[in-house]
Amino acid sequence: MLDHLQLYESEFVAAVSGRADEQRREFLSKIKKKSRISPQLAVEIYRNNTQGVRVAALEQIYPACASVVGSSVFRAIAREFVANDEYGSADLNTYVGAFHRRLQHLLSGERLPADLVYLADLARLEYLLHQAYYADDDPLFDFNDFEQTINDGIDISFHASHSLGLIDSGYPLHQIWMNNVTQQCASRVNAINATQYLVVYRDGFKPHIEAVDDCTYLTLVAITKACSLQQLVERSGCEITRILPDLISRGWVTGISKHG
Amino acid sequence: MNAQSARLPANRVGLGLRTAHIDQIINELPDVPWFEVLLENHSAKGGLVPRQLAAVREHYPLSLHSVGMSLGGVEPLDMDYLATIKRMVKMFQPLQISDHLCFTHYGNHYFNDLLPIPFTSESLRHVCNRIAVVQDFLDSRILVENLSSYLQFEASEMNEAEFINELVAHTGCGILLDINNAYVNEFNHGCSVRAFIDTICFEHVGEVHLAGYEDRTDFLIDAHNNRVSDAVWALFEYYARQSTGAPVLIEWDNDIPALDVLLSEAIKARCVIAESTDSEFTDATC
Repeated sequence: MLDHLQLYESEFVAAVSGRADEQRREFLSKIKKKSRISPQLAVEIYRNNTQGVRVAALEQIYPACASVVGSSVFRAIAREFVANDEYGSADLNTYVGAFHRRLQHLLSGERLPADLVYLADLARLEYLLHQAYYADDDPLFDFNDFEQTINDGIDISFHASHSLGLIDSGYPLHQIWMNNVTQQCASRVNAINATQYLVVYRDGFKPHIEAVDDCTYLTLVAITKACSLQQLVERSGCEITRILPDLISRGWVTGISKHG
Repeated sequence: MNAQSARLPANRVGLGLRTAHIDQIINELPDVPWFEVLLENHSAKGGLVPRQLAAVREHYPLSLHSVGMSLGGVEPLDMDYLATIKRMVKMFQPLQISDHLCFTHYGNHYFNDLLPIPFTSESLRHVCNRIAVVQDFLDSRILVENLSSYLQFEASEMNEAEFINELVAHTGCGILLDINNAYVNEFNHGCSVRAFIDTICFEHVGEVHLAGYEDRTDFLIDAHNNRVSDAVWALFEYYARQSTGAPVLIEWDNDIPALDVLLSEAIKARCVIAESTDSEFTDATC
């Protein structure tokens, strides 16, 4: 039984997350008063430390977004995101992935200027770059296995690279990202006429962004949804026999499984 | 238990390995006897991170330091996290593994900070059980680090040094003595560092940490963003005069300076050791 320790930790967490007045008061009463730091200040320090680490992680992962809105505005948005979050993951990499939703929420509520409408998409792109950098390594595509399985008449599905990220947008995201990570001023950005399809991947150790045509993009989307080769051929309306060798040679498709 | 047969070099001063310095370290191979790896910064399985770490490991012994075991937590141990540590141990064969006397997780709340627990007999039994499970799982002794804290509990029945000694006695774990943490506690709460050092079982100290704090005038924050303070150097000298030669680490985690700055702090630590101990450990630099 851990009655006391459990209670301490429960009240500590409630006090630091600042959401339960009763528990907070109870917790403060259990802290020694003979200290340079008052109980209230102690809780504030823990809250600031926790939130500070998370804000720093956001600043590191979303440099282009920070450049677009300016560092002080970005920090304010980040603090708000952190303060409203449930701290539901130990892994900062996972935790920060929901940041684009916060930006979308602010845009929808007109709390960010309308001409920054691309900002949530830009955040998604930056998160994909971050994920690509840390993604697991991929195996080399086994052509012998591929050939043998096809010759055996078995339908297959493909494995996408661990680092592969896909994003489509009505804004020129690649250009916006380039402008901002190279510290150039962001010029006014307008929606482009056609959707921009981007592939994020790691080549060697470095993440890259590449614009692709709609057929390549949609094929990759289908592959990430575990569609079979037969489904790709029958339903995509694209020349799979043209596209597939390129996807394999680029390292975007890395293996096969028997489908079903 | 398969306690690591090799040990980090006694009385030698290592550095915390930081991403900003890795390329320089791999290219220049500075005269550093060992590096400490923070698990959270280097646990990626793919890409550049594990390759860089392997390149460092080729030339230097490593220790593995983590912040997420939550040894004082009441939630079940995170076995995925421990599995990550085990994978890192298998890959990089660190000579020591360490974490903190704290909790970091409760319910759905994960804190990227080290939260203190009351030093009660209930906590002691609980932390002992968890350390035993961790050591069994990792098949290795771990070191438990004393915490810097911004509060103390009325309910504590013993002080931190006594609590840690009990952990050692019951589990066979070692001690990571962080002198800066103890100094931050002295400044903030008035608990004597010298009394803390005098109480700790020296023969079980497997590693010593030195770092810089942030002075907020009325209190100190354990920010690891500065040079080691004069007060902490004096305390390190006090420790070194009595110590049994545990390896020492310079930690710097925020506002990270050039590698040369860390190397100069390491030389300073070497000098303190040389002046405080027998000539056997005297470093030519001093």
